[in-house]
Amino acid sequence: MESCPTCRQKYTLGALFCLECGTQLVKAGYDDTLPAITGTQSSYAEPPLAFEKSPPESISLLVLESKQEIILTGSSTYSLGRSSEGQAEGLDIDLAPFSAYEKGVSRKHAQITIQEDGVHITDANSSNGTQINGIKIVPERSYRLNSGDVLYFGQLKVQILF
Amino acid sequence: MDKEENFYTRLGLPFNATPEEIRRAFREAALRLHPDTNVEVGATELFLGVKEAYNVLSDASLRSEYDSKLSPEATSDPELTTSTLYSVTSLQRIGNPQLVYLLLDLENKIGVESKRPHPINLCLVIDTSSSMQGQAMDTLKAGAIELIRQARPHDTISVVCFNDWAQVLVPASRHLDPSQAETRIQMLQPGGGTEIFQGLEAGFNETRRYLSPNNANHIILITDGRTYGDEAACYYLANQAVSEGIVIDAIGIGNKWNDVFLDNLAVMTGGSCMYVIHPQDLHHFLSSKLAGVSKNYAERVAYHFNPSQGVSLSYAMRMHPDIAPLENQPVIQLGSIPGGSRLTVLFEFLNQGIISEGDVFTLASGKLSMDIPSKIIPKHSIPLNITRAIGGYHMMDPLPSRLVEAVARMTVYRMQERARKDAASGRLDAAQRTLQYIAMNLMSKGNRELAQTVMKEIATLEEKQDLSEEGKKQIKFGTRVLTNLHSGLP
Repeated sequence: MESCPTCRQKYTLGALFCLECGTQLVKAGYDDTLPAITGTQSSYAEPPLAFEKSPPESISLLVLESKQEIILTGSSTYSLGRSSEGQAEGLDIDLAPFSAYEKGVSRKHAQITIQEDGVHITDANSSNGTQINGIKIVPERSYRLNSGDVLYFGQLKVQILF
Repeated sequence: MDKEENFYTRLGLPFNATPEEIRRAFREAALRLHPDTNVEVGATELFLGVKEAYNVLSDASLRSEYDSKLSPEATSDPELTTSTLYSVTSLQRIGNPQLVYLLLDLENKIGVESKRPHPINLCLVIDTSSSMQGQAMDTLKAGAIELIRQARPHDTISVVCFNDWAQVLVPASRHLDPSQAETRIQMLQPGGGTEIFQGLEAGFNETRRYLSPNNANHIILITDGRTYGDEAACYYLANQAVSEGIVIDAIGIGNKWNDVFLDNLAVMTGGSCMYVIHPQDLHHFLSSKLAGVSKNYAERVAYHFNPSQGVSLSYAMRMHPDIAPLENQPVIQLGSIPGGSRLTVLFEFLNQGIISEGDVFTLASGKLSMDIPSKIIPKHSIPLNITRAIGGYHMMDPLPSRLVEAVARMTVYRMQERARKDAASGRLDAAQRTLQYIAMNLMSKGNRELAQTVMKEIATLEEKQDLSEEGKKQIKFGTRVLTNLHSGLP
């Protein structure tokens, strides 16, 4: 039996939501076609595995609409958001050049960290939330990512590769 | 089975064709195609095909056997379409228990306005206990009078009021004297207690006098209080109402009424239960309820089902026209199909493992029964077998978003039910935890107001070791409201 990623309660095969805490356990109506990229898409029914070798030195974020690439390198913690009127205090990655404002990205939206057991993301209580492969995540809680996962910051769609 | 052609389409008939229609269709086809009169190539084959179809459909027992094998798509008719959305495409033969979700839509596309409207046989059962004094009573009087003024020649409207006993204010009659009825309603004076059984029984007797499957037979119970000691008698009466074809709807005003009891009472009969927080909103609820009753395409829709070994129905919930949990019984009253709209129900089946051979597994066999008052023969039934292919466990991909949204709603509703149960039996930690999850869930869906109500109840639970009556109702009915929904939603 699988366990819910939020509350660890076991759930029955075929469950769409965790009955204990209401977390969505499946991808919802997710029908976007992705560019052919290696790496599997994780669903929260199967938590991704830890690094098999060493943690990656850089992470790439592919903005799917404009096909632009953002490289995260030289640190193990990156805070993401959008600058406002030129102010980008506390931000490592400014998403403003990617229509972040129109797409509902918060000033402080999320944090990506590289840890021993994998790459993690935490939503920084953003107004419009963060989704992993179509699943909205609980704010202030860390989720492990797989290379190839598709993230939404508000409406801004990004694929993470490492 | 071939979806395009079946014996009905071969004869150009709807699935619910009457025996007379079948005979007529065959005669017409025979005249055109009989080998003696038609020498065109292929006509003989066509005629043999028509004859084959007629032989089966004209024999009641052969027809019902044939019907039970037809797919739901084949049994659709232009007035009523049945469609299903499943969460899985196939199931595994052995292994762990599996859940199967089914979203069932019964849709009437035409509406009833274009047809002859069916008569309504309706009884208003009004609580006149002393607490109803003021705005609630005034609104109810106005509503009752409006109802009587709007009655059409074939309608039967009756009004019963009750406190410690019941009084038939306006008896059911085809020869209603509107001015006399209005005067009697105007004279109503609130006072006394709330004995719901008294009122319900009197209302039941009035409704019964003009009972017909060609009518919409409804009792609308309106109360603001709790009844003591007569709940069992009320349930007994509700069962009787079901067997005679009477629907009980309930409207609860304010915070003191027993929502669990009234909800059960309504659900048993296929009716709905509404929560009116402020008496000034009562008029709106009452008029929308009454408008709904006369516009229903089908009444008393029930699902009769027989689960296969190892399969059980774990939950059933109506998702449209209103959201309400349904009674988990071998015959489930689903409600009514609104004209020009649809009745949507979500089922959760738990399958413990497949024993049968073959490629297809029937989770449950059964049928839907209903009354379509506008038809000369109003009794109507549609076979509904819940089947899935056997061949490894596969979820539908992508999952239909309407189904996911419906299950999301069911989940929050069930969490709310569990929190109430835990709170009532002193498991305060569990109740608190669940409420916290509910609040988080509502927040993430943008329903801040209800999330705040839930947070307030967490505090109340801490302080008073119980939930407040107001909070319990607001959370329960708040998780049922249809607003704030995803666009594709029921």
